[in-house]
Formats: sequence, C-alpha cells, structure tokens
Amino acid sequence: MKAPVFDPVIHAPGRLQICAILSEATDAEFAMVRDAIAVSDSVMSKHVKQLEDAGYVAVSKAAAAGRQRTWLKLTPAGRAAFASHVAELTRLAGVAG
Amino acid sequence: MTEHEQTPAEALEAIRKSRAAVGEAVSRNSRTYDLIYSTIAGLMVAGQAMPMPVNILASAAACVAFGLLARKWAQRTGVFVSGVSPKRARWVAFGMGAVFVVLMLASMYFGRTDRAWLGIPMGVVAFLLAGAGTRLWGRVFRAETRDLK
Repeated sequence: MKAPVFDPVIHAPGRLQICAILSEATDAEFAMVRDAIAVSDSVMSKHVKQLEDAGYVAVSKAAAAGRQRTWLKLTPAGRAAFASHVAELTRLAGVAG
Repeated sequence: MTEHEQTPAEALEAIRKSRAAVGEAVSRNSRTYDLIYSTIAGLMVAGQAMPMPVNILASAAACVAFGLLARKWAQRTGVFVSGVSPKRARWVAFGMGAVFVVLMLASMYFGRTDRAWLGIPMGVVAFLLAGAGTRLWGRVFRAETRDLK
C-alpha cells in the first residue's frame, strides 16, 4: 500500500471520481467518464485540464467510426498519487470512525 | 458548501461508486463479447491441428481478431481494461492463457499424428473454457471494482 498523502488536486469530488474510474481502466473515453460522474462537457474539461496540468492524466484523441473521440488515461504519477490519496482517506476515515 | 467539503467516508464511497461504474460498463452486453471471444479461441486451438503453415496463420489471425475485438469493444463501451491489469482478475487471464497453451500444444500434437480430427473437440473445449473464463474474469473484475483494497 502507498504512503498516505492528501492530494488537494485529486480531492475535489469531480476529479476524485475521474481518478477512481481511470484507476480501474487502462483507458476510458471522455464521454463515458463524463456520463458516469454526471457533469457537463465544460466541467469535465476543466477537471481533466487540471489533472493533465498536474501530470496525473494523459489525453489522447483517436478517430473511430468517422468521429473524433478523446481517451483518458492515468499516468504512473497519477496512479501513485491516487493510491496515496485513497490511503490517506482510509486513514482519516479510520480516525473519524 | 464548497466542492472540497466532503468527509473521508463520503469520498471513499464516491470512489467505490465510480469504480463500480467501470465494472458495469465492461460487463454491459458482454455475452456478445464472450461469444465472439470464445469462437476465436476455439478456432485458434482447432487450427493448430492443421498442417503448416495453416496452423501458424490460424494463430496470427486469432491474435489479430482478439486485438480487433478488444478495440471494437472499447469503442462500444467507452472503456478499455487490459485483461492482465486488474490485480485479482489478472490471475484468471493468466490461467486462461495457460489453458489455451496446453490445448494448442495438444491440438498441434494430434495434428502431427493420424488423429488430426481431435483438433475439433480440442477447439470445442477451448470454446467452452474461454466462455467460462471470460465470465469468471468479469465476475472477479466487478468484485474488484467494488472493493477499495
């Protein structure tokens, strides 16, 4: 298990949910993640940009069936930061409980 | 209330729900995936009983077909999960790989004897085991997504 470290970039609800989804997937499509966390395109884009700027998410585009699709992936740094954040949340929940 | 004001327990619950969404997306209409996957596996194993270079071509075609299936399914569900990346479900994938190797070697062996027809039952066995294996993988993966450990 990773050392517990609270990460304010990840902790915001939308970004926490995005990281949780990407932690289970090799890649996930922008639209699938947006629908899963029930936010608008613009809110989703802002969260993704912040995660990308932090080096936690890699964004790639691929054409499929005649349309451009955006795919998201957690970087190794993002995976490590998310695991540390989950460890810290688990620790805090244990302290509070 | 700001977006940061959630308790650790609430945050962990949100993570659990988000992760479960991946398990649900992957398993949506997965019977079609299981059927195609199993058919490719069956043909790959049965093809090993054929003479050279047909058996090599069968292996190569199966690899391409598996890749195309994975790509198509990722486009359809919006999520791609490598069979060997989940911590627990990967062991199901490794087990399936080992079973396929044994069946392919057996089929290849029969192909070199006068019992090449045994490649067909080998293929049927591979088809059935692949179907059971993909369903087991999906079950283990979904359980994994619901668990924070």
